[in-house]
Amino acid sequence: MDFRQVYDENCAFVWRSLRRLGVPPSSVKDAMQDVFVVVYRRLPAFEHRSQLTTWLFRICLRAAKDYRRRAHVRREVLGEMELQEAVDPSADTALAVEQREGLQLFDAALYRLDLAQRAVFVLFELEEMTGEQVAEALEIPLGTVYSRLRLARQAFRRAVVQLSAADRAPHSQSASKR
Amino acid sequence: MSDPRRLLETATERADPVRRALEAAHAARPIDQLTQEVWTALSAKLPLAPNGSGTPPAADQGGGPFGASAATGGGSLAGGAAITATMVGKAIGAGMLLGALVSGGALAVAQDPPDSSAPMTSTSLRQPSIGTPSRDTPRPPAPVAFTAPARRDEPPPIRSARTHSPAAAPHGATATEARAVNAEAAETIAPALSPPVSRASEPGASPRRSLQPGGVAPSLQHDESAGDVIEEGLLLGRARDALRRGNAERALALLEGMGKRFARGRLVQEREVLLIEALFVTKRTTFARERASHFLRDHPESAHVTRVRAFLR
Repeated sequence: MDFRQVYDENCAFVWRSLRRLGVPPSSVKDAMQDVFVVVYRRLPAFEHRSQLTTWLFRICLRAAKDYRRRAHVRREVLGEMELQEAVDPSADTALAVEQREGLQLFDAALYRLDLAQRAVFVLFELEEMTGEQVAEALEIPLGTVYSRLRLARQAFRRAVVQLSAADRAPHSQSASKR
Repeated sequence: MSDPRRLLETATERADPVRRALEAAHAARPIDQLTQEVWTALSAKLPLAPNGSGTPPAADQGGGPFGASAATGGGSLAGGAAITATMVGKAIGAGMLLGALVSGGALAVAQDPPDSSAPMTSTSLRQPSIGTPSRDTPRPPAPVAFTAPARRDEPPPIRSARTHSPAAAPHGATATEARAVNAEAAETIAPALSPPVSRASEPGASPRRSLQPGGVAPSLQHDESAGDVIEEGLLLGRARDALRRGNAERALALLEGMGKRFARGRLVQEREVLLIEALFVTKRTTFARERASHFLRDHPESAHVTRVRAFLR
């Protein structure tokens, strides 16, 4: 399989996976490079026993974990980066203006989920993998996929409703007890 | 067990914010420039043929960027400064006032621990030879102590998953000072509005901590600080939009909510500036002018000084 082809076909997937796993815009280009260097090295040995995307996602997950570990050490610098991104976290995204706030809402809500929940949520709800595919991608039992998904959905919905309710005038705030 | 239906299938109401969030996430794509830049950087690093196919080495030499590999310790501080430069460049390019804020505070870098198993070689990727087009000339460090460190939250409620580094202590005094001044200013000026500083156990407070070098990485709980900053930005953006749409009273209400939630947040200055503007617009001129002059007194080096000064003419 041609590396260039793999890159072209999966670049967007790698980007959005990294972003959704918590790598901010300021670091995503470096993280993407890290991922694709690994892809380059391991592609010849890739035997297609799993799907390419699930293989790629595992690499992205590893990259995201590494980023987070280093991020905690680099708090001083990254604090300022976060500041910039707070103003527009969708700066690296091609998206219609009216959807930018939706994306900000999504990003903010996703941060309420821990990495394990995020991974399941993103793969199932957004990449639309089946439960089995998610289980394979994350190397966890199917039952764990379902229970994590349930928790992730609850947390996500709660977060989204709370974040968007902050915008409404107090007297019209609807009950968000779900 | 069969799969549940997907959220987007079940969230059918047009006004459902979950739907709005998921649809936006579905639609999000990286900008072309980004994918180009990453490819360029990869080409510089990997032995790719002109058509990009390349022949990967037969044997995997080490674990790749994630395994223990080439030492990157030496590059980390330079890498830190380079990251800042890129980011400052972007901030300036986007015309954001925050750029100045960034250059001042960001150079207080906590260095990477000299960890030989530093897994990612990302730090080495940030050397100038990679040639990312968006990189600007690095700014020199701001010689005057900037207010950014004073806004760090010190020390907030203990969270079990984090360790608190004593290295954070130097900021503590300034931060406490700044907060005390803010509290005083706010309480004497506009009693109707929440002061910027409030109770100790503020749930929205974003603790700024650095790990002890070589310390234990915290468990992968949800990333509170980054998430808080994004939320804070979301609220600020909403308030700004309301003001731009001519709804200054709504902006004030949003800013008040923001102040309660993020009393010690990252964007307290931005909030204050917007608040002052909204006060002017709603004809609360006396309050506005007093807050403006207090802002100038408290944050003489702020990036917003010019703007705030204009309010006082």
